Amino acid sequence: MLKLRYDMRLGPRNIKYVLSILTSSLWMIIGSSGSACAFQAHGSPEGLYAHQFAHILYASSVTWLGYRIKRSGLMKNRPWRLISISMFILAWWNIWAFCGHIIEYMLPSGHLGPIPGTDRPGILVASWLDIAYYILKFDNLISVPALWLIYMALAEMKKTVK
Amino acid sequence: MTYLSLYPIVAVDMLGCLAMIAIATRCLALAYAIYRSDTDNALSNYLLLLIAAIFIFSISRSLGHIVKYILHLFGYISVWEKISPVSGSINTITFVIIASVTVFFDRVQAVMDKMLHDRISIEKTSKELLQLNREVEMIVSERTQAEMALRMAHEARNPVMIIGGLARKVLKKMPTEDLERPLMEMIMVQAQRLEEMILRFEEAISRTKKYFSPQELNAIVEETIEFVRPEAEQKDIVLFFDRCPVNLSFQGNKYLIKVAIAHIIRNAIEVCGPGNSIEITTDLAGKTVSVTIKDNGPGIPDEIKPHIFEPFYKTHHGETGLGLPYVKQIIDEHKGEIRITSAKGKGTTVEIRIPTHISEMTNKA
Repeated sequence: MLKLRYDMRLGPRNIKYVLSILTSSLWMIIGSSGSACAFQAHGSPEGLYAHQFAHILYASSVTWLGYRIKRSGLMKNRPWRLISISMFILAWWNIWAFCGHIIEYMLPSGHLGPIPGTDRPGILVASWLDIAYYILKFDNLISVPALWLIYMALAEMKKTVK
Repeated sequence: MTYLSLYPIVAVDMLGCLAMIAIATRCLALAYAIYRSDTDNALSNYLLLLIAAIFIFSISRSLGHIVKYILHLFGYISVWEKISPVSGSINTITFVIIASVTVFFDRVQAVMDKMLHDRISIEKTSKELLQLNREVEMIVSERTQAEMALRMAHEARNPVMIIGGLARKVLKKMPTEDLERPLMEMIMVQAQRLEEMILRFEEAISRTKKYFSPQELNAIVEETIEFVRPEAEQKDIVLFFDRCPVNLSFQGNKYLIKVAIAHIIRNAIEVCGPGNSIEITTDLAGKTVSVTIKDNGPGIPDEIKPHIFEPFYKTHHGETGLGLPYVKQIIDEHKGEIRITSAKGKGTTVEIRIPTHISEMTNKA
């Protein structure tokens, strides 16, 4: 039976193709650029965006890892089952934190501060945003159980090893 | 205007952060202990890497929160405002580290699966080899015993019978008061012992038949093909098995037949090259079951054909080995026959026929 195979190795022939694509791309960029800058400054939300993207990346990766463990033969072992569950909980925490950052960003500036007549820190509850912010701030109630599950899994694994 | 105190948030956050630091540290210690117990285990290596990444994330995040509360408590809000972006950046980096570590899981899993598969395969092969070895050892020792018994029986039976017979004759004629009588009696007793010993040797010959039991040829051929398939695949040779739809029962020794068939297939693999094929067919013809191994390789040189079953026969093409004579010996013991037809450049066909019933076989002894 005839099988079609694509050579995906980075051999001399493929390097030639890759280099030609890179060279032509670079040529197109250089040829079409306006004011050329060695480096560019970005706006202040860059840090927040990077952090939020990292949350998405973190959530996606632990979801994927949890799913991969679930699909593998490791699920027969209780410790790995616990690790898989903890990964899904960590993903949930990431989504929780992601939403928390957005709500925090949207929160009116005067809503956080000392409670009038006291020096205790408080939040003015004027809309659902304030309530959401208050609830989302309890994110440790998700992250700590996730870590605890990992600890339980490792403790059980440790018992089985000599 | 409703206000909610932030103290519950601060309390939960502080306790949570302290708990995270404690649990993450304990997790890292446990992961390291698991890794130390088996440093060559790919999974424990990966686990240590993953837990280390989670530990860095937990410490970075928790310390950031704790430092923030401490600075706020002592009124160093401006200091926190300077540190805050650094803390946030470190947190971001730890997220990326965890994401990077998860990527390796598939590779680790693939390595583990491959190792497991290879281990099962090695275990299966070694088990089979061990069993085969035991069987061959048993057969060899039995054969040696039988041959010895045959030789002894042949060499000693007649003289012993004569001695025993004569001793009895002399003893019959001897008067009871004769002084030599006890000596004669002793001779007769010893002769009887020898006769019994010969009888035991003859029993040993009949025991060889124990190793012949009802077998099924299709199953044996299938097992043998699976055994040699990797060798054929390595040389890019295709193995076909045309299985007879009916049950091919016969009386014989499973392992000996396996050895014989495997040897013939291996011979074919040895002479064939990439693109060649080997076709194995089982069949039932009257009172015999048969297995035919046909290849489309280079064929056997005419010069060797007449001497194919002779051990160490030298030609300018090379020397015949012990393999095919041994195969012939096995088939002969099963009262079967082996036929080899070959045409140069067209391939070779080896046909083995074995009687289906023990009644077809006669005691070789």
